Amino acid sequence: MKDELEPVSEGSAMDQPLHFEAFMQSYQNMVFSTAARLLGNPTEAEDIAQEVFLKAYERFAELSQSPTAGGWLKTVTRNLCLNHLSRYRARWRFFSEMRTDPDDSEAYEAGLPAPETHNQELNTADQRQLLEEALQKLPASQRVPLVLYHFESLRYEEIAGKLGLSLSKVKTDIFRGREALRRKLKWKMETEAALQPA
Amino acid sequence: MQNQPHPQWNDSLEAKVTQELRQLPVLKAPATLLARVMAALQARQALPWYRRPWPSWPRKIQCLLGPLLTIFPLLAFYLSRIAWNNLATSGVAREVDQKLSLLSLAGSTIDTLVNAFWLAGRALMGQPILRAGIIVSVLMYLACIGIGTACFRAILNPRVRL
Repeated sequence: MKDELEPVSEGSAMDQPLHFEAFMQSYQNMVFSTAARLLGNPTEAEDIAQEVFLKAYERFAELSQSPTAGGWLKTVTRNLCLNHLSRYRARWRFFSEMRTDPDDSEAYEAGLPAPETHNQELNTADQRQLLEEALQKLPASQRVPLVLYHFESLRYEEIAGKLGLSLSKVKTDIFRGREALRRKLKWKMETEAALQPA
Repeated sequence: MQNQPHPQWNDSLEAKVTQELRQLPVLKAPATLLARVMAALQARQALPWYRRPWPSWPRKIQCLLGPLLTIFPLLAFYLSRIAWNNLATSGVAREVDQKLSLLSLAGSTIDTLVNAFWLAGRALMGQPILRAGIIVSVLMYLACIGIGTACFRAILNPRVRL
């Protein structure tokens, strides 16, 4: 398929050994993972990944030679996902998701995923699968800052800036997201006995 | 609720979540992704060059258009000055002036009509019921603008609203 494509422009990297298809195969899982974890929806993640690679194609001459191509792709994916969340999800929520604020503690407790009962019997692959699912099922208000913190290694201040939220709100959302994962997966904490949160 | 978790608990939980999440493998992209991207690129290649994004325009055209787009506004400004100077000293300027006098006639007609409406409005405003009706209408109109603005900001707020 790639041979049927014309070069982007004169002197394009399509003439060079690293072709776009190979480039894409190297990075597509990373781009898709980033988008899927941020959006919590594989279909939307695929759309975003497509958009990312179309942008990458326009700059392929530079990217194919760049050691920071992965970082560029990750940043573009993250920005497109956040744009997508702000443009479309907010619009949809305005009309269809008139629900109680998840800050309300009772609503938050009710929204927590049910604990798994036979977690210890699961093997590592199953546990990872379970964790991935639990992460995807977190409400966006918790999942997005959690993913930005743990996968994208952004600081709380950077997350607050990107999401337009207060620092304390970001910290609370991330904490709640972690708690939800802990409960869902019944993780045993070393300090659990002494330091159960009130 | 856990709005203020114990710092040690929080640190311990953070470490645990970091450890578990970092062990997660990358998700496998759907097999359709590569095909979709390549199909989109082929569709883009089928477009004429001027409908593609600027970076993919032929290099010669980019090189030609760059200076041209810089020179064009300067050239347009220079030529318009020459044209204006020539017109001011020719008979064309007088002809334009005569035609503009027709416009001034239309202007005075509009002015008279506006004055007539103004006088009628003043007479009507003397009646309290009409005055109240107009005030209510204006307030409702302003309320519509306010509600519309609030909805617009709530829906299209540039912040990431999750």
